[in-house]
Amino acid sequence: MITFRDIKDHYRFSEPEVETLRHLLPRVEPPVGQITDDFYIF
Amino acid sequence: MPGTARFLEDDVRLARLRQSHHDWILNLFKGTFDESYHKRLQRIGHAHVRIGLAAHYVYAAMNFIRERLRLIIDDEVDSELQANALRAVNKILDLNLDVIARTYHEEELRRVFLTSKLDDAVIRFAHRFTFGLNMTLVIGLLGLSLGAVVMIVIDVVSVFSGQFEKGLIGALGSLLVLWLVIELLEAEIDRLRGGAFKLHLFVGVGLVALIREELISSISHKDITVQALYIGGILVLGFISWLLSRSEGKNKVRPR
Ligand code: HEM
Repeated sequence: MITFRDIKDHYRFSEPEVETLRHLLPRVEPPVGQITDDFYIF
Repeated sequence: MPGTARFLEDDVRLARLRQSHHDWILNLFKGTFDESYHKRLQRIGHAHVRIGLAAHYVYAAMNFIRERLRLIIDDEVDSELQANALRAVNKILDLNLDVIARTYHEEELRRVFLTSKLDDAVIRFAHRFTFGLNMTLVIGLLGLSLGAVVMIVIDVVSVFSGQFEKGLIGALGSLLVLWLVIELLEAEIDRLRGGAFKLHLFVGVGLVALIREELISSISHKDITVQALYIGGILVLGFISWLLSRSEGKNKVRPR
């Protein structure tokens, strides 16, 4: 059985990338409501 | 998207849905990607499979979200950091899609496996059942042939006990029945060995039964209309039998 660790390794999803995503949170948070609204009408 | 409208009709559900999808997007950026995150993704996949949403819409939605997040990065992130940000976002989206799509594939496999197992069981049962029916038919035909032999013996006994005419004609009819039962048995054995079904034999059964009745009624001086009915029946069945044996003969593959 394939584990989540295997999946992350196969995508070479590294700790620095996790950090990059964390830094993006404050930029994504304000417009996310608009994205979810548009999600149902696209 | 027209295929998704039926999931979005109920206002209460839509509000809950907005919250779920909103939280899911934010969780992409919260940095906790452990086994419980993995489990949550599998649950998301199962939730969509359960409601009957085609995987296609999940792929399309993922593409939509990817595009919107790219626009945010374009607008909000310093240009020298954009490539890294975009790579990280693409990876986490692909990871999500990987796990969610897998639940769809697993569900499909499970269904195919289940139906093929069910098909096998039904086919196996049908095979055994038809085998049982065929055996009943063969045993029935064997019983019938024994009955025909007994009829002949009774007819022969009546020949020697003074009822010469009745016994002789009865024996003739019984011989006819025996001959037909033998034909039927042979046809059934042939069919069990893979031969074709011979419909004309079954018409022959009716024909022979009528001939026998006619033979017996002619010596017991039955009403003329009954006899006419028997003769009419014999003619009709004889004609059908002739047509059938002709067409079955034509369908046979002749060696060149
Ligand atoms: C990127 C693709 C999508 C993601 C990541 C996603 C995510 C989620 C999440 C996190 C939930 C909550 C699951 C739970 O109860 O644990 C959910 C439920 C749901 N999603 Fe999506 N979704 C996606 C696409 C869609 C699309 C295209 C539709 C179609 C309108 C849809 C309709 C629903 C519905 C109806 C439920 C509620 C299921 C229920 O009542 O239990 N989703 N989704």
